[in-house]
Amino acid sequence: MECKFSLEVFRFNCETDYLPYYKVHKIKIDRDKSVADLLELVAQEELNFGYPKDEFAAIKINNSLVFTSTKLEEIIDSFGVELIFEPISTRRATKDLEINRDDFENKFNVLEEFVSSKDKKNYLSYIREYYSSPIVDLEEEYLGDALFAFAYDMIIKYPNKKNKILDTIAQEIGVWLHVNISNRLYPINFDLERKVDFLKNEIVKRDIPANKFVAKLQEISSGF
Amino acid sequence: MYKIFENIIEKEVANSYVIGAKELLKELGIEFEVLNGAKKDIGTEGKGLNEEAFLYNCAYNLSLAKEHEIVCVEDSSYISLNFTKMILLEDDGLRLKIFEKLKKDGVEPCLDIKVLHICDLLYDLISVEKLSTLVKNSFKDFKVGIFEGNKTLSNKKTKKILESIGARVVSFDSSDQSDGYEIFMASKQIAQKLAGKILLDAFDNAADFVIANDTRSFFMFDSRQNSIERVVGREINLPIYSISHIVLMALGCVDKEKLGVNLHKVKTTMI
Repeated sequence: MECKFSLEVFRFNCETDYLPYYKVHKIKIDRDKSVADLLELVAQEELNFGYPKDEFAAIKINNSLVFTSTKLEEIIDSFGVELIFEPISTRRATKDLEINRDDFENKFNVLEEFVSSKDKKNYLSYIREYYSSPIVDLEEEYLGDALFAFAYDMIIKYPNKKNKILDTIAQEIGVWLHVNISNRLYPINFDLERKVDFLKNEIVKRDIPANKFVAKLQEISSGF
Repeated sequence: MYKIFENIIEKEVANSYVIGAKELLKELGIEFEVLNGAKKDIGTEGKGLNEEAFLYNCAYNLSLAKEHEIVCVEDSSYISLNFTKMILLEDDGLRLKIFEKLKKDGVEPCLDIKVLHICDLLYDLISVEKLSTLVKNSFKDFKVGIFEGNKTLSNKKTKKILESIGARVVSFDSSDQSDGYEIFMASKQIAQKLAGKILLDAFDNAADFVIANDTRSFFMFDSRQNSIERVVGREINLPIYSISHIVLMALGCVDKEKLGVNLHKVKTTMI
């Protein structure tokens, strides 16, 4: 069944624009199609419209981070037909909905030595988690929520690397700066919270604290 | 009989939430007792450090209530107790482990306890229609911002209750974002930047005060407001209240000690 969307689409070219603007599009499309299909129709109306097209392509819709493979039917149920399309990080926008994601990709290197290069695909699948966190805009060195979700998966996959992985994410710019971002993801997802809780518990449980801050946390939690 | 849970997180700075809620229930003629002997709520932050202790403490508190319903005066304890019920009902192994420990400590385990929020009593037991007839001091001249935070606990009842006493609810974009409490120990600076963004957002959207039903948010927004002003480089001076404080004021209570708001860092000037 066809549906008419009213879109406000973020437009910006980092090479020519000082400020972004929003362009309105009214587009009819079948409800069975995906967000990616809708973006393709926007691109047909706009010359040189940039949007992510890779396997884990995601954009922000009405402030929630959504994979573009999501069916429009689900989007309509949750957000209606009046949508605001923005890049997953407006701060890092390069061309419209495309961003420079070097910061995200580089953080993989933190755990690279403990995993296989094939595991990078798993890391990349957590792009929404990474850019959902407000901390990435406030602390450049922050390891990022994608790395914590990935660290959990790698501990399950390589149990003998568990302590080294835990030590790495226990640093001050690590898991202690994580804030709950479940309500920024679409659909709302608590997996990351579950994983982060597991990681923190495991770090605090260890006999030898990874650093002074962990030692302080051990002291606090012993009084619970 | 309702059992009020008063061993809330950040009680040292947020005891006005308990004082205000108890006074409100008295005013509305709702009978209650305090859940005596309860262990302190350590919040989901405590769960992140020692999940077993978190579950044990909450299961202990649930078991103390026996056949009574627990009333939480704020969000953190409400979430902790309900979350524990959910986790232990789903995980047989964990439930057995916690139950054995409780029995060893002489407590008969019980999870079948209804945990209510103060908003549930106002909305479901009293009703917004009844509340609107009890109003002595209308809030029609006030604009209020509701901070829900990033807990995915959407409390639509708060808005309806505020509207029933005449308040105009203003929306602001960051009302569902992190107030920074969860990282306060790791980085005061970043935590206060997060809280500052929210307070300024509420302020810039013309809120006269903010309702924060979670004492962790109250800790950030009220107790830390002076430091936050220094971090963001702007004066804010935005009072923070619980739903109990505001409803109690609407019902005619203007005694700051009875309300508990004399304990707030940001002073109440509207009375």
